Amino acid sequence: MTTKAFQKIYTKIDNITKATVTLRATGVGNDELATVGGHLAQVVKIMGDQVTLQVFEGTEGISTDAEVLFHGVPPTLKVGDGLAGRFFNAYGEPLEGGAPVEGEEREIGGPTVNPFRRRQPSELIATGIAGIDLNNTIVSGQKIPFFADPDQPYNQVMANVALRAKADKIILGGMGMTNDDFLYFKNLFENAGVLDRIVCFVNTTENPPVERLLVPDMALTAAEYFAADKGEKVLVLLTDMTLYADALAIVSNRMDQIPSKDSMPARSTRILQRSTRRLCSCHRVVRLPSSL
Amino acid sequence: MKTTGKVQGIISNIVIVRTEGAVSQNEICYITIGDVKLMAEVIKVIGKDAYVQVFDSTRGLKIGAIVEFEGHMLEATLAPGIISRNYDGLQNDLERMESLFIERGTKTDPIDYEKLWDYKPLAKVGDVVTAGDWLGEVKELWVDHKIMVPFVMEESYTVKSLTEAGQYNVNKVVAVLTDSKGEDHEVTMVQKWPVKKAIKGYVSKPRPSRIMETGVRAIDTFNPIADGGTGFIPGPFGAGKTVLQHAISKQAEADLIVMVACGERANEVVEIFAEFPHLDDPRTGHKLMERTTIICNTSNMPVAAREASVYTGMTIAEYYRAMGLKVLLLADSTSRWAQALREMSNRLEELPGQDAFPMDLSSIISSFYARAGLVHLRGGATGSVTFLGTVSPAGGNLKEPVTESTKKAARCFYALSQQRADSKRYPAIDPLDSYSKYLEYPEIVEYLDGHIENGWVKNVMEGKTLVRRGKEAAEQINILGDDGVPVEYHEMFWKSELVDFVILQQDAFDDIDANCPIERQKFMFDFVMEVCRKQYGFVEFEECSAFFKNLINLFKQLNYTVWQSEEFAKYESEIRSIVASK
Ligand SMILES: Nc1ncnc2c1ncn2[C@@H]1O[C@H](COP(=O)(O)OP(=O)(O)O)[C@@H](O)[C@H]1O
Ligand SMILES: [Mg+2]
Repeated sequence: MTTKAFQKIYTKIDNITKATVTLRATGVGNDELATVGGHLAQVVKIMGDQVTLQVFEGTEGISTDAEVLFHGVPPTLKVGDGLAGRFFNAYGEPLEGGAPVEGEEREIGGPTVNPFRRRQPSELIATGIAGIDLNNTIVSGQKIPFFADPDQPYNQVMANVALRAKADKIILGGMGMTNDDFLYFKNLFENAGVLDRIVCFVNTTENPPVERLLVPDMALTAAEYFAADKGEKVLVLLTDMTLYADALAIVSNRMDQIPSKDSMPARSTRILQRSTRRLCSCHRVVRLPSSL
Repeated sequence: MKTTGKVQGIISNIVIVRTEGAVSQNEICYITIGDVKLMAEVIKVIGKDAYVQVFDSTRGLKIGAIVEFEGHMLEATLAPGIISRNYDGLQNDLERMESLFIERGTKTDPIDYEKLWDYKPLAKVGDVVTAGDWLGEVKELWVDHKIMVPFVMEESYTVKSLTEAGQYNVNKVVAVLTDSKGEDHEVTMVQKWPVKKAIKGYVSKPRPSRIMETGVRAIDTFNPIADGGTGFIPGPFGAGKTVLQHAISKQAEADLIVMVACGERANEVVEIFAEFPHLDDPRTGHKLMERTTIICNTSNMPVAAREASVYTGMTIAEYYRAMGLKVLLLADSTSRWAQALREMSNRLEELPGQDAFPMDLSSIISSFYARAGLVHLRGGATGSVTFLGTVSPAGGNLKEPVTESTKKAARCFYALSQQRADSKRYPAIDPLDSYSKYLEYPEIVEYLDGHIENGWVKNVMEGKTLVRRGKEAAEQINILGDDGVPVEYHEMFWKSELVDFVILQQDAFDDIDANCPIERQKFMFDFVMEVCRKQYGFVEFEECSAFFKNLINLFKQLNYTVWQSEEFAKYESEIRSIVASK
């Protein structure tokens, strides 16, 4: 993360909850990123000069005199062809080391596609799985949710879909994935020789759950780059949305909000809805008008 | 002088503005961020602080940003040129947005201000007029679009002068009206109206007295919706709400359709954008798009504009109703609107009602449904707004607040059942849970008996009873086994299956079966009932099921065959001879 010169450093935090810190600061923009004692955080609320930050890793060990630095920008992803074949964490940083991706820096969770500029989905994507192709055909440009119990092999099914689908790029957004499942996907893609078509954004169970909230927007920003800028057919796999929703619940519980029915906090529905603005599904394909 | 203010707090899309001057509840304001202005609406005022909901992302917004208040509520622009447009929830024309992505703060004109219309006056100088009275008209596509005394003009006026017939754009002054104090008011072809208020300007709102045909048998025959009536379609995800609404939007006997896509998948609207310009309206021969206006706030668009989208849709419907037209308003799904209300209410930390919905959810929903209706206009014409909304209860649980509140407000209830959808019995409208209160209206009964046939409603009730008894018989057969019950139980069950397969089920994707005009519905229902009234006296239950399976098959062929064609007659006589021979 680059920081600008002459940046003001704040060192007095007023309040700390399990997921947030609040301090006095000025000139801060909504949604912008910050670092709190070295941990990445995002502005979630501003009241006069009181700024509340959500700390992705949680606030364990953060002290009231921790250094707080505002970045002046919301979360971004550098998009370029170099994304292909790479594995990233929820912040879009390369996982296995290696050079950062070169390219244009784009805000994640930006503006949405004008429905009038969409085209009617019609092109079939064959998966070779009879249960899907015959009964629930996947059409390019469409979203399809997979509903499964935790003991069902949904990751295998989705990996299969990914491998057989004739897409130019496959973007995998893993949320709360076990490390074993992550390695399963990675090996499978490697063995199938399709690594150059894959882009992965992964938050595993070993990572802080709140980070997951960034994964869908990271994945969709990459997807929109390949679909809109490069005119490619892109398949997005997001797994697993229940664990994404769990992260929302954690955030609002930690922000000391009153949980509403079904332990899904009233406030978190807003985040859920904000996020579902750009995704509704375990997986979706972005297809662009041929005129582009 | 406009009131201004400065941003004082930001919580997601709620912004707290420290104001310098007066503001009113629901007033519109614009927040400046860089070189764009974000539209917002006042939803709460505490002292000098106005809480506004922003219809766009507040990303990057900072304390101190300048806010300008507009002095009016959220308004719709009403003028010729609305029909066949595709709007977002705030009436921006989506077609005029050039880029693939909708950039924050984008605004486009809802109508074409340059276009020339063929105008002719209808009123006379010296006429005494009030809001909603027709002053002139232009031809909008095939519609005689009335230019009315603006609805915001509250007293009576005398027509001082009228512009002569000619080609004008919408900003042309077409009349000058004088009020009781002798002051003159210029009227153009454009007016604005705050969407959250009902448009009045009619003489009376009688009870609906006729039905609106939809071409869907399970609706028209079993539970008809009145012209100017209200109904809703609750159903779990995938039960067929959208397919049913789309079928109705294509087939319903309305002059105009206003469709609000509220918080559902964008691809569903794309289907309409793609198909409607090419499909013909079966009744008029015009293209379907020439009677359709779409308001679109799909799941990927700002949540705060969900509410605006349904109100904008209703306002446009009311506007055309005042011209003496029959307008059908469809909204899919009203649950997403309610969820947007919940979100806002929670963020304002209001005392929550059931499931955290706002306490006044029920009254919000009922006053919205109350805006539908048949109206008598001053010139003697009638107009109507018929409203049909879908509700998507989580997990299909009908005991949740949105379904329950809507049930109180809407007069028709079309419950889609998971079980029927699972067994592909489409449309999945549950024949026993669903109802139309209009069948209890004496004027509707009289209308149906007069327009369809004498005793129609009685026959329909007989059909409903048959379905219920068939279900009871099926339960007995399930418990006691095929041999454990008298053969009459099987006959009862199979008769109800006949009604189910032939009348209730309908293939929305078949060119012929999809749309069943009322004449054909009458024929099919009478025919099926005639077959069902006969007692067959089967000895074996196998014989009974084989007999009815064969009949169901033949009847289904009838549904797939061109009305009154040779083939149709062939199937009909085949059925008659089978029935007669038994
Ligand atoms: N009348 C019908 N005839 C045939 N298929 C139908 C019918 N209604 C629904 N379906 C099937 O059910 C699917 C889901 O319907 P949809 O209207 O999208 O559900 P909902 O809006 O309730 O979530 C459709 O894609 C279609 O395959
Ligand atoms: Mg739907």
